[in-house]
Amino acid sequence: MYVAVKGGEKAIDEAHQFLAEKRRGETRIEALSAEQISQQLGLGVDRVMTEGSLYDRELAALALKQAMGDSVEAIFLLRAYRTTLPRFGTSTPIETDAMRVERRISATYKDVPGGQALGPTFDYTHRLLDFALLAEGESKLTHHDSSTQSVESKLADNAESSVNDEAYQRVSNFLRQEALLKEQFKLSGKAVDITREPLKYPCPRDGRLQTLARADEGFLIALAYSTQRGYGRTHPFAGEIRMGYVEVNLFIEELGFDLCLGEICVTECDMINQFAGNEQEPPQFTSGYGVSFGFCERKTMAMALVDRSLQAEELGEVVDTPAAQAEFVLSHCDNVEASGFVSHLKLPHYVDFQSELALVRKMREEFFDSKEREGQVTSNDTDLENSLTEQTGASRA
Amino acid sequence: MKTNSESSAGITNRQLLLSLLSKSDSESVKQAWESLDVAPEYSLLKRPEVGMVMVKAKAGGNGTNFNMGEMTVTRTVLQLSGHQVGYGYIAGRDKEKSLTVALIDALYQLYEWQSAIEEKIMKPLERALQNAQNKHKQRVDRTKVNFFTMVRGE
Repeated sequence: MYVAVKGGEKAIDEAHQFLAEKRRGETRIEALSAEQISQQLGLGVDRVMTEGSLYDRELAALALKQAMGDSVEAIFLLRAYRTTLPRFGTSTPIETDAMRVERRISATYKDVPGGQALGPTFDYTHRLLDFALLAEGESKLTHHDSSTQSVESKLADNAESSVNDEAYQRVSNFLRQEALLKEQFKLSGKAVDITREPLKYPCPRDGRLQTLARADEGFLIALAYSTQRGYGRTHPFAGEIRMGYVEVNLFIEELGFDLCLGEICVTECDMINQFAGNEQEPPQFTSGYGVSFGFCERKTMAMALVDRSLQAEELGEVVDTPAAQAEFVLSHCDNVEASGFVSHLKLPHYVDFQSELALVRKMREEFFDSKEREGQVTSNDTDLENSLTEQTGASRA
Repeated sequence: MKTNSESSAGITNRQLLLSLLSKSDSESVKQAWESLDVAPEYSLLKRPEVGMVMVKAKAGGNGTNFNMGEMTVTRTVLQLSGHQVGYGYIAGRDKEKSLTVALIDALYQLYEWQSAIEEKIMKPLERALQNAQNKHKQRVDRTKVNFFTMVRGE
């Protein structure tokens, strides 16, 4: 139980002032602008938008600045802000097939139609610190000028792109055409909205995906990793990962048609998993899906693995791993809720603790009284406790 | 005064106009608007307001619909003295751009403004967007790879 306290206003004001000073750092160093954060710490901004569940680069950058770079705090700020805004409507579903691709890879097909475009990736970098960035200079890779590109490489590029200049067809469709991919359970009716109604169990896939889309990246990665290490039987392949820009359209009732609101950047991942089949169904592949605002590739991969694990019950698999237990996963994956409940422990619990203290004292008294009656007690509590520990240890052994 | 009939072709052009405006940055929209050099009278049906739209996605890109998260959107709805209603729904928080988009949309429904809007607004914005997208595509295409599978063992 939490009992309110009062007082301390002056100290709290001072603490907030101190925080502001700390946030600013030494004033001889130039202050960071939200624009700089948005441009140069873009992946941090993307994570805040995704888990804050609000696409707005400028606000996410501001949140990161205000939170001194603490992602979870920034996510909290963005979530709090979104509660102050009215909702104008719900978009028509985004068409990721029509994405203006910036990155597209497949780990299942080498020669995938449309080709593989690596895009701006950390993959294949050597993970060596680039000290040129430290010396306040620019890395030699920073400005890639196509005019300085060698003729040979230009020719090679043209040759390659002319070969691959076809649309990026969805990889999972190739398996679908051969009936090797299990059809998705398509839910009909209005999609669940966890921002309007609490989750109910068993939770349908739309509610699960919405929850996972805003879930903590770290939590999902740990769960996804657990399925790979043996706490799951999902045998995954990254069928396709793509990142790029998609239009968002909103149907306007009075107009009777869709309006394009603009483009947003999203990342999506289709995981393809083995499925041994059951009495009714032949062996085939199943899939898991991950999606994020901005470029949160790792998050979308983890989300896709966990999405697949959570289909266990629908696929008639045994639900015996943490990642397959919907209630466990979905009710603990939100970092605003989780950090709120963990953090509340640092608020004053004085009254609460006093009663606990009185209770423990009373119980100890009773304990020693009963020991004394049995004539076993020594004059020294510590000795007794030690001997008790030894006894328990011995009995366990 | 002849107003743009809401034929299917008309809707497509209007949708294209609104799409170009929403995808262009505020500065380009402002310049395009100023190039028309007009200050029509209007009344606000919905004053410029910042809100959100829930973005829907499809599982696996083609399956079950679900709500993936919200985005900020600014909207304005206004009416010209001739009753044409203009809609300015744009991604982000930018009341000025939203109002300008609504004005252009309303004006586009007036026959006498259609060709000016197509020439001075749609064409340049479309060209600029196309250029930016081509440049982006070229940059992406330079990262295209061909992987070769090595023969395993001997």
